[in-house]
Amino acid sequence: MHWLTFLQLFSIDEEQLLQQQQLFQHQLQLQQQQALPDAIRNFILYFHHCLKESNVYDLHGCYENTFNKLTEKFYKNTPWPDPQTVVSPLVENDQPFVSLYTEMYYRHLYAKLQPTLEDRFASYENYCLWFNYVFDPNSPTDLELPTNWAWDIIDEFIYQFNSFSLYRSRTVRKSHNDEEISLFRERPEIWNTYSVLNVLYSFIQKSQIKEQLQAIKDGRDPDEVAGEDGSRPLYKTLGYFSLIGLLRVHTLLGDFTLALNTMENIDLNKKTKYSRVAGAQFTIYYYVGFCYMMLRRYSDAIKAFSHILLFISRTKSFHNRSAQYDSVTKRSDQMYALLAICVALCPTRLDDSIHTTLREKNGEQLARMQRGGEESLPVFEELFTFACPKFMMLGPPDYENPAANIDPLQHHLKVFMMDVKNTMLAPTLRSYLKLYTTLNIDKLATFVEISPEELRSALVVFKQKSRQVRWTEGSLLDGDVVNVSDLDIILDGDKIDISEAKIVRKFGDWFLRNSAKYYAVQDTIANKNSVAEEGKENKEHGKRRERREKNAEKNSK
Amino acid sequence: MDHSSKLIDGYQIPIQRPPEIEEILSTLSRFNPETGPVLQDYVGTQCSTETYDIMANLALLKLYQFNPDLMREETVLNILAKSLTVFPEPDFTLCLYLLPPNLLSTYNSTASDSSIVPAAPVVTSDDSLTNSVHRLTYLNSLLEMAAFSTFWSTLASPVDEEYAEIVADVSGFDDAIRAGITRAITLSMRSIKTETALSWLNFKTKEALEKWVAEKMPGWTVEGDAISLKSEAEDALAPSAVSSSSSGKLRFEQLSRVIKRVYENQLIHH
Repeated sequence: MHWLTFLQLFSIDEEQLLQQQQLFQHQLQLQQQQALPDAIRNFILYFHHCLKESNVYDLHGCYENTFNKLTEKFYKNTPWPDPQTVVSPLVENDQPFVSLYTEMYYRHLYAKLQPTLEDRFASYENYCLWFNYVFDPNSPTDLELPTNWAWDIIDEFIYQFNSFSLYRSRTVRKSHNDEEISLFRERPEIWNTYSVLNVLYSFIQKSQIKEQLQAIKDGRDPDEVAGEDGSRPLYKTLGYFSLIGLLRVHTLLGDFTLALNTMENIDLNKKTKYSRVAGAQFTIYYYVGFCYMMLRRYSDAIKAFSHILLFISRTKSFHNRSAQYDSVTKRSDQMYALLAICVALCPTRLDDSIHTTLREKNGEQLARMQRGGEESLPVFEELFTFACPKFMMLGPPDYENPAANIDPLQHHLKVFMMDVKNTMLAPTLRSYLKLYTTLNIDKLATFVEISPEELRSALVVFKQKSRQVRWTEGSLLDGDVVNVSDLDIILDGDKIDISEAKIVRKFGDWFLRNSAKYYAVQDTIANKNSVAEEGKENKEHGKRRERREKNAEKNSK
Repeated sequence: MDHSSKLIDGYQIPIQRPPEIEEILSTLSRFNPETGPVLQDYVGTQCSTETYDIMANLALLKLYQFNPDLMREETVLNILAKSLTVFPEPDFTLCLYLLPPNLLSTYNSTASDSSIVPAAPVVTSDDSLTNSVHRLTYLNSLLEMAAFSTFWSTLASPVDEEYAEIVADVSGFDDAIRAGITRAITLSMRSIKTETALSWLNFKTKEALEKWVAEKMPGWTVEGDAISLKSEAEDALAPSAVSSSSSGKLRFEQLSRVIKRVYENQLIHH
């Protein structure tokens, strides 16, 4: 009897406590909700409504426009309303929506504020929740997301994974925050590489995207191989973007071959609905170009970088207005830096407008690299460090020996520089060889100030480096060995025979570009004569540009 | 990628990849620690049968990244030694990228006063794997710099016998390297002095060199103090046309701006 009473008493107590807590929570929620601006409340309700109705068009509007506008207005430097206490009650705890909202909440927080370790954990857990929901075999979801949004989810997922891993390594290496280190050790499952790869591979498998892409390549109907899941737009989209995600993760881990291999079924030259997602395009070409560079396939790397940089420069006025403007600028600066490295290692004639911009951005560095010698090495290091992806360790750091955790960037830089050092002599050789059609080894050796035998080796290397595997068709790793240099040599005993392929200038292009420049000069002169009218003209010019940009935006939709 | 062969300067080295390895590489089993021993044995097979499969070896190094406990020193070194044999392909470098960073962090090739070829790295670590990786890295840079004589003398170094020891597992190592050097010669030369060839290919006698030329260098003969390409096959240096295909051609649309301008100017002036 005694026991029971006690137990009952106890349980009542606990119930009361619970009730009190709930009441308190409720009041807190009410307070927070009351503080919620109407615009935000209405937005969240409408956003939720669109998702429930699977109204992809309006969802796109909410996601791309309204969310960014409201961020500007209300949450420029503060987080959006808390997903659990504020947003969840508003939408009757509709889990899929709350998860998606949470994803955006953390993405905004990562972009504008400094995430705490708690945020990092919670964001990961939210990803798990959402992925589990999407993967749940009992309820294949009919949910449909705008393509951009699906890309942003995969992109952000990998970004946060990368960011967490770097943060963890840094903290352990400095070993100054014992509390956080013990949290890392307690929870090795958070942002675990296996789990991240697992998510990406699962999307790929569930969507049968590889088989679908292969079918498209063979001219068959992809729906034949897609299966029930693979024909759902959400899986298909996430599957496709997961391939790009893998390209990125494998590159971050230093496996450049496997990275390119995961892209084997994607035809870069083919336009699909995914190639309209600009962010995905930048990512593909940056990582593909980078991998090629690490595989010493410089001409393929140059092609990849040139292609996307040209695309960026042509659509610049459009990006100017987008929220991603800063990241696009940073990415393209990085790619110009990588392009400079590749051109220094493999002299190549670039597209004229790319060449002009490259000279503006990295002209001096390029010149120093092209001169070669010991002095060029720091420039290579500087550009590589600036432009490479944020390499990460695959596993958890060595907690016992903090000093043993070497930054993988240093490792990759070191290996890369070994390759560079072997070609240090090439620019000097090149400059002399260009002057002759035949030359004796002894004579050149005195110019370069090395022994004739060393020169013979250097010339062999020079010749070897002029041969590269270059892609022609098939998957990205395929290719044929071709001569990529305009300067060809062959040794006949001690005699060097040199042949130089002259490049035909594109007179037509040159004529057109300079015509345009000439017109601009003409206009400037003409305007000087009518200073009074200048103001008016400028205004009109501005208006016209605005109109044009609006049109461009409309068309791109 | 065509998995059946690997391209080296246009030479095909056939890969006889067993089906069970193909299965591992093309599925997610490549991340399964249980496949470690299978891939490890496969490295052993490559060493003893003079075959080579970079994709499988990279997959194993990746598996070691995931499971450092699985890592077998001997296998790592075999993979690296094997990848030397396909120089100047970047395979050795690609393997290095997948190794734990602390193996290479202390590597420093010492600049030499008298030569552009660096001197051998000083062996300092008390970790044998680190030291061996450093030795192999040095051998690789000698091959990459085409410092072939130094390569052979380092390999046979009486001071540091470890060099020969590291590559001992790879059967046919010397001949594979010779084949690589032969590729370098035939790519960049029409003739080479016998003396140079002897030291580059590491043959003690002229007879051995003659035998090698007869077997491995079709179209080449030993004549007097040089080996050279027979004259009929001599036009190897055809100037390659680098000119872009569309040079000089313009599409009509590209002229639109010019035409528009002319038209506008006429409006202004009349």
